[in-house]
Order: sequence, then structure tokens, then C-alpha cells
Amino acid sequence: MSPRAPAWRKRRRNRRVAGWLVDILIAAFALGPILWGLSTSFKPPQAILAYPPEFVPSQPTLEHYALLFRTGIHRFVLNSVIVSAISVALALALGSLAAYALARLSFRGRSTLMFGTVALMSIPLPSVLVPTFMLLANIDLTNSLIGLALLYTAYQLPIVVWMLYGYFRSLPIELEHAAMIDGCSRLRTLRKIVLPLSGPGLVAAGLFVLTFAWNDFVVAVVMVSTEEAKTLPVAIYGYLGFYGRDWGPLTAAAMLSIVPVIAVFIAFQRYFLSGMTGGGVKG
Amino acid sequence: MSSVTFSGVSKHYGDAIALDRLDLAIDAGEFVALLGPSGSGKTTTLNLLAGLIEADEGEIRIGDRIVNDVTPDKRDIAMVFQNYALYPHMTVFENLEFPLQARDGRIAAAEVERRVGKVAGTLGLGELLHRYPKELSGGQQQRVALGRAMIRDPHVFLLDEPLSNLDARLRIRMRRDIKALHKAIGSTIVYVTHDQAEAMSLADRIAVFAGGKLQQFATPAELYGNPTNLFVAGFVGEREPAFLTGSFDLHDGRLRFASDDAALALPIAEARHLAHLVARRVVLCVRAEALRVERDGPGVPAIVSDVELYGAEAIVYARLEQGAELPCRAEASAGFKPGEGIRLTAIAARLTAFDPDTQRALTRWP
Repeated sequence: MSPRAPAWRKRRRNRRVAGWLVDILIAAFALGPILWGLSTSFKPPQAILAYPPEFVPSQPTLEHYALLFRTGIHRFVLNSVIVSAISVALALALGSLAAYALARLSFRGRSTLMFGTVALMSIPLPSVLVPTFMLLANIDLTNSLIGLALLYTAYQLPIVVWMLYGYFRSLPIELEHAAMIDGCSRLRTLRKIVLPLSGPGLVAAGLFVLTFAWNDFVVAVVMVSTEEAKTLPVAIYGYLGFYGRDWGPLTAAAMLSIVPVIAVFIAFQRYFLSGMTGGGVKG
Repeated sequence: MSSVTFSGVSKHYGDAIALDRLDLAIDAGEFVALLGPSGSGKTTTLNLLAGLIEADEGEIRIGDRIVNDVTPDKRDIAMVFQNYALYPHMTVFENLEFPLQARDGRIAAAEVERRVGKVAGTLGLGELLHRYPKELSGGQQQRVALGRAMIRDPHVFLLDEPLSNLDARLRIRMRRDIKALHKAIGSTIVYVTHDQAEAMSLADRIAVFAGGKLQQFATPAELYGNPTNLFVAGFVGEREPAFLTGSFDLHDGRLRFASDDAALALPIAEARHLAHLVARRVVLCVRAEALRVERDGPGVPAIVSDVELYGAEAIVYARLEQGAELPCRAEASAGFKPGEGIRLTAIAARLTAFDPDTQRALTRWP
């Protein structure tokens, strides 16, 4: 009555199967709605609510996308691109300066400043919406893409500083010492040595800002009311009323807002995997 | 090239004293090794000179210029780091040209080309200019690091344990290369190491550090022959000497040394430098090369307890009747075996004595 496989082998197999099941469950939970939306966005209107539902559209169509572009969605996409690009550039530029100062310079109040930066991250965003609106209104930057980009930068700067601080600290300090002895000022050392070696850190921090700026709805809906400065998420919300329960254009618009972020993530994923510092210092 | 002067320089980290009132004057063109165990203050001294840390007190000069408040990029020095610190995102060529570009962004490309070519030629890096640091062997990385330091004509070269990451044979070869380099360029070199053999073979003068204090600053021969205190005597030399605490007396025209576990007798003619120590407690420093091992003769009797072979020579561990075990240098061809009875004669000229309380040298050999 001996079992065909030893007990430990069986246990290992069971554990693996259980692991796969959990993975599939999580994937279905996270990706299911998105894939369903993707499928719906390509279905002709009469097939959308058909029963039984089709998972892969039998007669795929681009008519919903065409409708969106006829009604001018590209302006909102462009607005989102502009706001996101400015936010990412600004947050990384200011964040890397602040993070480098915190990581490598010694000055009075450094740890207080660091603590303050971390503490800022714990303030819930909605609680500052009204004051920031007043502030923005006072300097006449509501309904402007610049105003939005400045706000996104301000909201995301603490996390950017925190992430880059950690990354800069992990670089071998001898490289910076060598650069300074070779004749570089602090700023030049940052530009020539630290930043080029911080690719993964910059990408990770940049993606944080990008996803926030690209996806943000709450801030944009409060700060912006004119068509000219609407970003994509606010525009999509507008479609909800405009087209009633018209699922086709709605899912197509949602896809337009999801796909670029996923594309950027895929494009930069290798930076998460590979470090650039190999071979420079030994030991 | 420039001289380097430390006057009363101290560095503290909280309560810990990293460097205590250092006075050190290095001549222009001199090759000086800073030698000591880790935590002795030698690296602190180098970093102070490089401007990577700031002195709490005292004055540091390079040439005639006080550099305490001068940032590293304005000190006109070059440094080779223990881990080389090559810029990983730059090719060998870019690493070599970096100090030129950093100082003068408008330097002509032809001039950069010429100087990189010259350094690459000197160090045999010509074939490697387009490789990245991670594609180089340890020895090649080391040469690139040297080249990056040589590319300018700095006032002072700083080398921080540059050979400690290389394997033993390459290290000895690179020692000669560095020495040849110093001859060729004639720069002032400050070289940090914990390896006394490296310091002895390279340096014009050696500064020995311990516990944040400069112990002795002297030529290798002086350091070896006349160590100023017990620490230096123990640290300098191929192996740690035996330290015997006891006293001398005069007997039958011979100077006898006796401690709890050892006894030695020395012909007075050879031991004049020890004669004034009669009837005084001393610590006698006995190096392996200060004892002669013979199968018979007038020496003190001992038993061979162990033999270590080092090619042409051997270290014989001799156990005295009183119990002390002394390492002695002998010819390997003499073929001493463990258990064998031998006679030990001390070579008086190679013995040094120290005060057991102050640990300072009591002997001085001209």
C-alpha cells in the first residue's frame, strides 16, 4: 500500500497547484473588468448587452473609437499628456535636487526635514482640496494645465524625494568622491554621475508621478471647469452623462486612458530589473 | 608636485577620536605610506587631505596653500580608491578623459585624445579604451583607476589601499609598477595601506598610525631598525616578533637576559646598545631574524616544536627550557625537524628593548 510518489513530492505539487490557483484568482479579479471593457469597446452596440455574452467580439468594430475622436476626445488626451509630462519632469527635477541634498549633504535640520517630508505623505489628499483651490484661484491658475501640473508635482514630490533619497543612498559614495576630486562641483557630480546611474530609481519615481497625474480625477474635477483644460479622466466622467448608459463609447474612452500607462510600464520594465552600477566599484 | 603639511590636525566623531593632533610634514616629490591597522586614523588622514571630510582643528597645507576650506575639486589632487570607483556608465576612454573635461569643458578634443593616448600607452590600456569597467579584470580596472589619476598633473596623488583587491602575485607586480610610476612622474604620493610589506617596499618614508595617533614617521630602514615604541616594533616586519618581559644582568663578560619563561646570553661586545639596561625591567623585542638556530654551539638549548617552510627559508619554532616559544628564521636546507634539540644564539644588534610602562624604545641603534 505504498503511495506512488513520496509524501514530500506530493506536498510540493499540492503547494504549487494551490499557488497557481491563487495567482489565477488574483489575475482574474484584477484584470477581468479591464479585459471585459476592452472586449466591449470593440463590440457593435447590439452585441454589447446580448445574452449569452461574447468574450471575444465576433464582429469587431472601431465605431466607438471613431465616435470619440469625431467628438474631439484627442484634445483631452493631449491635455492629460501635457499635464503628466510637466508633472513628471518637474517632480523629478526638484525631487532629485532635494533627495541628493538630504542623502549626501550634512546640514542643520536635515533629519527634521526628512521626517517632515515623510509626514507630508500621510496627509489625505481630499483634506487639502479646498485650501489648494483657494490658493490656485488667488494666483489665477484654476482652469489651467500649468496649475494642475504644479499641484500634481506638489502632491507627489514627497514620495519622489523619499524614493530617490533611498536610491541615491544605495550608490557607492566613492564614485561621487572620485568625481569631486576629479574636479566636479556638487551639482555637476549630481548631473554627471548620480543621475546617470539612477535610471531605475528615476523611472520608478517618474512612473509614480505619471500614474497619479494621468489617472487623477478628484483634483482635476475640482480645479478645472472649462473644456479647454479638462483632462481625460474628467472628460470620461462627462461622457457618462452625455451618452447615458452607452457602454461602447464609455469603455472605448476608458481603454484610451488605460492603454498608454500600461504601454509606458511595459516600455520601462527592464529598468526595474537591471541595475546600472555593476562593475564600477569592487568589493 | 607640492609638499603636504599637517599641523595639529584633529578629527572627532562624537566622542570617538579618529585623529589626534597630527603633525606630519611630507616633502615635495616624496612617496609616503600611511601605515596602520583599520581604525588607526590613516584613512581619516587621507580623506582630510582629499577634502572629503573636514578637520575639527589644525591646519592642512598643500604647498603653501592652506586647504582646510577648499573643496576637493579645487585642491588639485588625484586619488585612487580602494574599490577603484570607476564610473560604470562610461567607457575606459570616458573615464580617463573625465578629469580633463570636468576641469575645463572647452579643452580641445585633440588635446584630450593626446593625453588619454599617452596615459593609455604608459599603462598598456590601448586595447581597452572602448570597454566598460565591468568588462575589465581586476588588474585592468586598477590600471584604469591609476590612469584616471595620472591624466592631469596633480599636486599630490592619494592612493587608498589601491592593491588590496588584487590577488597576491598581481599585487607584487603592481607594487613595482607604482614605484616605477613614481620615478617617472616624480609626484608627491600619499599611499594608505595596512600591509607593512607594501609600505616598506614602496615608500621613501612611512607614517605608522595607531589609535588615531601618529606613532612614528621615518624611513623603512629606520622604522625596522629603531621602532619608537612597542606598537611599531610589533606592526612593522614580516611577522610579529616575540616580546619577552624581563631584565638583564652582567655575568662572565656576557649580558644575560632572563624572564619568567626565557633566558638568553649575549656577547657584550655586540650588545653595547643594551648594556645600559642592566638591572632594569624591559620588554625585549625578538624578531625571527634576530635568532640564529644551530645544531650545536654555545647558544641556549631549545627544542624544535614546529617548522614552517617558505621556499628557501623556514621558520623554526623553538621552545626554550623555560617554556617560551620563539619563532626563528633558518635556511630551509638545514632541514630542522620537530622534536630536534637545537641551540639558539641571539644576534644582539637586531634586538630592541622597550620600557614596559611607557612602551617607548630604550635602545637606539645608529
